[in-house]
Amino acid sequence: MKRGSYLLANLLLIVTLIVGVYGCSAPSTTDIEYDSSSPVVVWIDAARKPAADKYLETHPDKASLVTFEIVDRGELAAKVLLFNNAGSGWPDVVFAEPSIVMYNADEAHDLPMDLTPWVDSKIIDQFVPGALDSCYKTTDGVKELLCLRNDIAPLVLWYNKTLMDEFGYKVPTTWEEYVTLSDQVAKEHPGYYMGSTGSSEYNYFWPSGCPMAHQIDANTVHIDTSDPKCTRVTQMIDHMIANGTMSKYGQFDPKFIEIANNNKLLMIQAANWFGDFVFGGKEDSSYYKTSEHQLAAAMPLKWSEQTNEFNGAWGGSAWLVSKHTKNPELAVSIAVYMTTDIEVGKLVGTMPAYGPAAEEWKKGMDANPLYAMNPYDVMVAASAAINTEFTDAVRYSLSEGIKPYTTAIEQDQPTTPTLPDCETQLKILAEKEGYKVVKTAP
Amino acid sequence: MAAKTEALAVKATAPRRHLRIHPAFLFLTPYLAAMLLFSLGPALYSLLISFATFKKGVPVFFAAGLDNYITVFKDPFLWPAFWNVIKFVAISVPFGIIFVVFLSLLLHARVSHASNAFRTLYFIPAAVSGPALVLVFLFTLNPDLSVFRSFLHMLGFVDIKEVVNNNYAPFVFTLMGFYVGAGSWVAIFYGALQGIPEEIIEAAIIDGCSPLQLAWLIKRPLIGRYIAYMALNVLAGNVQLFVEPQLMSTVTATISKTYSPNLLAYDYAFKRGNFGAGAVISVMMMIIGVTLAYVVIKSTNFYSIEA
Amino acid sequence: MQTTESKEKTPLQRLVFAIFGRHPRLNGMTGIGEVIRWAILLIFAVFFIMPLVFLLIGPTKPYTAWYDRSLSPLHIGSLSGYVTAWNNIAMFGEGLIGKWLVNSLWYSASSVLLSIAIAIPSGYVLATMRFRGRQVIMWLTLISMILPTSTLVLPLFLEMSAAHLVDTPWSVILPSAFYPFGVYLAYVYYSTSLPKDLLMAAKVDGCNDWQLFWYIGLPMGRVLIATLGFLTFNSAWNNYVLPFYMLNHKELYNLPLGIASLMNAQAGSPGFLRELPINEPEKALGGLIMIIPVALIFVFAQKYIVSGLAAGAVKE
Repeated sequence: MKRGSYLLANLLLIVTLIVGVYGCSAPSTTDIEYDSSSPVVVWIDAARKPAADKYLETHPDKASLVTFEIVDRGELAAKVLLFNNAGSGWPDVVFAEPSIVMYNADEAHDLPMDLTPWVDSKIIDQFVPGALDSCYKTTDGVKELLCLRNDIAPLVLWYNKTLMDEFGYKVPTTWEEYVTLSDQVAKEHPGYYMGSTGSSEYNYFWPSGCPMAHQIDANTVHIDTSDPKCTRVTQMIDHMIANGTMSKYGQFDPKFIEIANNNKLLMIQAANWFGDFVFGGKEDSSYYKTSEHQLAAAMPLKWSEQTNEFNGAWGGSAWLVSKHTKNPELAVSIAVYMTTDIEVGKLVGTMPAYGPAAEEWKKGMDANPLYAMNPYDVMVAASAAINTEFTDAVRYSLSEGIKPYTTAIEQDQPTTPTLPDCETQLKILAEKEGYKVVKTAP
Repeated sequence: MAAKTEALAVKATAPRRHLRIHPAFLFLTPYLAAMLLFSLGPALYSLLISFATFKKGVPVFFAAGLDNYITVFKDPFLWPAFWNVIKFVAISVPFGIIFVVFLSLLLHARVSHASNAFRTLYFIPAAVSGPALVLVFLFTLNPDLSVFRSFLHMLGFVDIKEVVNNNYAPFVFTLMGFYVGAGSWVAIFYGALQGIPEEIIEAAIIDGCSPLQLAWLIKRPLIGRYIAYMALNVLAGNVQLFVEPQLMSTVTATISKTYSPNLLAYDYAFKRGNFGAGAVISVMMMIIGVTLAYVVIKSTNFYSIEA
Repeated sequence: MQTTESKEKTPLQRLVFAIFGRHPRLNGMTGIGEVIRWAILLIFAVFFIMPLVFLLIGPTKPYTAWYDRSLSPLHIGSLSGYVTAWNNIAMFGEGLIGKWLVNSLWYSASSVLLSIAIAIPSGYVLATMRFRGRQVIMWLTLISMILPTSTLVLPLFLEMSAAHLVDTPWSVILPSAFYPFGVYLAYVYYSTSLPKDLLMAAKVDGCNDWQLFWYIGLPMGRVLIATLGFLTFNSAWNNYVLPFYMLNHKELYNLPLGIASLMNAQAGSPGFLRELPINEPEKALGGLIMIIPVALIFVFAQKYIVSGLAAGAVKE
């Protein structure tokens, strides 16, 4: 008796498990019925938690409908495919970088919803000029707004005003002047630094317009690192590493931080968030000890032949709303709240992409004794100068692509000879993501 | 689809067999079900997926033909990934064996409380694994803060990127594997050495055998099959390298994100959503894994099937 | 005999004998040999232990002291550093670490129970009964036992996603039901330590197979259960690959995944570093939380675990 029932139980277990595992998977392709009482799931990162709490606190009527979940967005793309497979499970709103938004906007993923009909054009107009550029996708002449920018991160030229005055140097405005000054510094004040090679793709290649991520259309990129716009960068880097004014270490390497802490950092072209978060940060891993009223920002450097678009960006993120949401009204309102609310802007701390919130953010810098002068206007101008022929919203990793360059720096080799290898690497990576790679721009 | 037929097959045949089924299967059904669901099933399923395309994430079976295989074989990152693993195995297996045998002979030379204490000390790192292991090594190999920093400086290293990078990765992973595994293997070899009958050793000494000869001529052949056992087990494990480069590449960015075949499979599946191509690499690694496992079982005589 | 023995050797040879020699009386260089032998053993002990000692004192010092070259790497800060580091970790995602700990505990506990409950009866019958299909089961067991997890994890993931179990605790717990090593261990254990006569006698007395197992096999397997318990707990507690594939929500992470995400907290979006004071002391503490429970078990249960690992050797 015992034996029989045991066997039966086992068999039942197997059958249920097998049916459970293989039984159902029917993706639905039907149109979605909107329902304003449908719950909304928002994927955020750990740093977004205070903003999420703020939302729940200020929207008690919606709190029961909205769930914030902390999720690793690095794997969003794969998860989206699985949700597509299952026909359910998509989050309604996702916090992610524009590159991730675009990655999930291709035919296979097809996640972000066009926000144009959902967001009041008056709100869109108030974003800092150029801030939404990386959220737009144009396919066959149709322009879609796939995300709202949370914060923007244009580069500016940070410099130590006290030291510059003391040494009697003029702040350079072009890369040519910068290189000349570096030779002078090397001779007159050896041991002082003017930059770091970390994240060169954002800090140097992008401003120069080096074609390594020049997106022609959704599936074509222009890659040509033999372009003078690339070689002038590597020649400058090689020259300045050799004369000792450019550090081979990244901005957050303890060895570079030591330079900054010893007040040996004369200037550095870097993202706008370096002000509040690196020079003015808390005392820990990536904090540059900075005396009060010594830090100033100047317009990012340009090559003398460049006129308007001569800047790059480093960081900054966005909010997307899923096409599959059942409650688009609520979902969009959350994305709008997160990007435009002034209090949330203060919580985040980086430069809000939304004009009125950014203006409010500016006031915080007025009161901050860190700065010798308020860098806000420079940041706004720097944001408008971002080079749109280069984008970090491509589907391949630029830092992987320029590995030969970074490896050469680590091994104390000149970087210019590595450019052909970088091109090969970038081409392989881009083609792997389904891009057609062209050597010359049409 | 094939899976559904499997389910049906189980349903259909079970009652018929009910009467003459051997009682052993009473005890074995949960295990066999688990084996089917979590080992054989997935293996077959991935074989199926390797011929499938994905349309908006939905698998279309057999639609790909050999396309996924062609994609993978043409991938310029495939051979480097295999080559990395070959280098790693070529270094880690002999390194591990030499030092484990060396340490075991050394510990066994004179058995005392102290040598037992050493064995325990060597064994403690076995508790360190995955992220904790990578963490420990990121600290230990960083010339800025390592507990061995004067030693690293002596070797001429000043920055972690000079130690943890693609060129030195096979050595780094070897060291990590040795750090975790050596203690267990030393304990196993030590046990094997203690299994050598005292009479043999005494006879050898009376015959004028020197201690070195004793170690080399008597002890080593007797633990020879343990050496083969260890070599093959370490080989079978190390070929499937995944966790260490995966974590190292996300934390330091100096190790390639497609360092090993298993990482490449992950990259295909999760970064690119190409589950078909990911499954192709999985199938390849399964074939290699099963072959190695078969060789381990057949050649070392260690695993007995008959009681 | 002893004198002639040592005379024939060159000094180098004698030195080597002195180091490896089991019978120090047989040569004249005992002192030096002993010194060298101890020195080598000590060097290895330093290699194995110092990184862990360093990890242990890590959280006592603030971040800056880690990189301060004027301090010894073994400089000890104050115990309050542990409190600071813990508070900082607890801030990560508003107390995620607590969830990870709880998850790790219950994932591990369920895995241990599930795998032992299935492995022991299976190993028992494979050792005590002869039936058709046994050979095949043995072979499949051995092969999948040697195959590492990372081989099968992508296929397993695809299967779990077809079953809509991805991103649930089940996707991590259920696969532990298949534990071929445990089955093999149980098989070895029962085939060496279960007296056949006892089983025969009980059978003659009218016990059925189930009763034999319940009243004889299981009670005899206490040592086996302990060994399996240690081994499965260790692998479940340290399980990284499977959850890494299966879990997406940070609330569902176990400790290893959580620690990994702490390690990445800095590498992630650079603009928000400052929101998360996760630096070396916090990472070190995270690592310790993961290591210490297993290390304690290992030190106290070394004998069981090694005998488990050397399962092949048990059967001679």
